[in-house]
Parts: sequence; C-alpha cells; structure tokens
Amino acid sequence: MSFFDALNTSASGLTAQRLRMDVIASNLANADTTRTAKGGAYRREMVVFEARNEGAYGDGVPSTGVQVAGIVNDPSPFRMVYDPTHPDANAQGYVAYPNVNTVTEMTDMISATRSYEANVTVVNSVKAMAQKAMDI
Amino acid sequence: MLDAIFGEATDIMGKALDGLSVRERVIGENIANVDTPHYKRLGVGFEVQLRQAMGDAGENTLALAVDRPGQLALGPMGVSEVTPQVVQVDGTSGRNDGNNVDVDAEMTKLAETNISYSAIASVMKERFGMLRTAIGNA
Repeated sequence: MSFFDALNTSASGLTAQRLRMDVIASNLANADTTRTAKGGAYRREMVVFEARNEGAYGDGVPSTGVQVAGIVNDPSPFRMVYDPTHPDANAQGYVAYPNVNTVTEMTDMISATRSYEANVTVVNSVKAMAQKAMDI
Repeated sequence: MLDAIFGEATDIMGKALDGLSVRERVIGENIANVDTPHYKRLGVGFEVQLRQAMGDAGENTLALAVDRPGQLALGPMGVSEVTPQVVQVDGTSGRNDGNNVDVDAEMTKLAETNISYSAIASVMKERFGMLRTAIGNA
C-alpha cells in the first residue's frame, strides 16, 4: 500500500536525523572530556547515511528510505592546550582535548533539525492525501 | 456495463491519483535521503502517457508509420495500461557529497502534488455524488 510505504520512508528519515542529533548532542556534551573508557580524550563521532535499498519499485531504481550505515570516529588530531597543572597533562604540560568543534556541531545540529522538519512536512502531506482519498 | 455507468473519466482520474501518490512517495524518498552522500534524486512521470491515452497526442508522440500492408498500426496505449514511471535523475550536483536533491524543489513538488491530488479527489467525489443522485439513493 503506497501511502504506508511513503510513511515508512519518511519515518526512516526521521529516525536517521534523530540519531544524528543524538550523536551531535553526545559530541557537544563531551566537548571537554579528557578521559574515556578507551583511554585518552573523547573522539568526535559522525553518522554515515546510506540509501536503504529494498528494490520496491522493481525496475532497478533504488528505493525506500535511508538508514545509518554506521557511526565513525573523526580521525582529526586532538586540540592541545597548555595546562601543566591538569592531571591529564603530558610530559610537556599539554592536555589533549577532544577534536570537537562547537561551531561545526551547531551547524550540523541546524542541518539535522531542518532535515527532520522536511520529513515531518512530507508525513503531514501524505496523511492529508490519504485522508482525501478516504473522503472519495 | 459498469463502464457505461462510471465512464472513462473515472478511470483517467484514478490513474492520475495513482501517479500522484507514487510521486508523493518518491518525493518522501528524496527528502529522506537529503543527507545521503552520492544519492541521486528520483522523479516520476505519468502525465504524457495519460494524455496520449486520452487521445491528446500533443507534440511528444512518435507514432509508428504504416506504409505497407501487413504492418501493425500501434495506436496509443489504453488508459488502463498507463503506469507511473520512476526514473533516477543523474543530473549535476552543486554539492560536495554528490547528492543532487534540492529540498526547495522537492517541497514545491510536494505542495503541487498534494493540491492536484485533493482537486482530483474532490472532482471524483462530486462525480460519485451525482451518480448516487441519478440512481436515486441520495
């Protein structure tokens, strides 16, 4: 049933954007974390989106939504801050702070919010159409 | 018998609603993948097919020429054969990630699809209402 397929597709977009938002929140919350379970400072995380392919159109056209292929670490170097009194300072007196850039996270956050809203708009539109069809 | 009651217009409107609902779904697809790297947007076409099936050939028709006896004259397809075509649009992208979804364009198409759908659905409702009146079950 086409309407429910459309809702599923948009729902996958909502899920993906929400997960992206969770990851951004985690990055911002840990912007100054110098200790992690893995050792060392917190490393910025990023989500990787991929088109979910269930081949529903039957003519080789990729289809049906988006999914998160994985959450990967940002390999860029840590931010080194000179603070010899810090317990995590190295021999030269530098502390490795996470490679999280607050401005980047904020712009990512706005992008995720807008994409989420776009998906909500589609959901509402599909619902309106389904109602209209029910009305015939 | 039933065709005589409902008429071809009902079929045509049904096909248009079909096509529009597929387009709505494809727009949702594009929007869901707005942040997916290397995703190429999908498009839906059914209007030209439908117009041809209705006999309004326009400029987009290539009819098969019949210049020898025994050749088949392939006329336009019937309304019932019209199926929405989903195509991938590999056009250029202004973005670094190779994605060519334009959210503004998709939103405009979404509104357009929605309005067309309600318009046709309203006409269909009216039509059925008239039939009901004619049958005497108003």
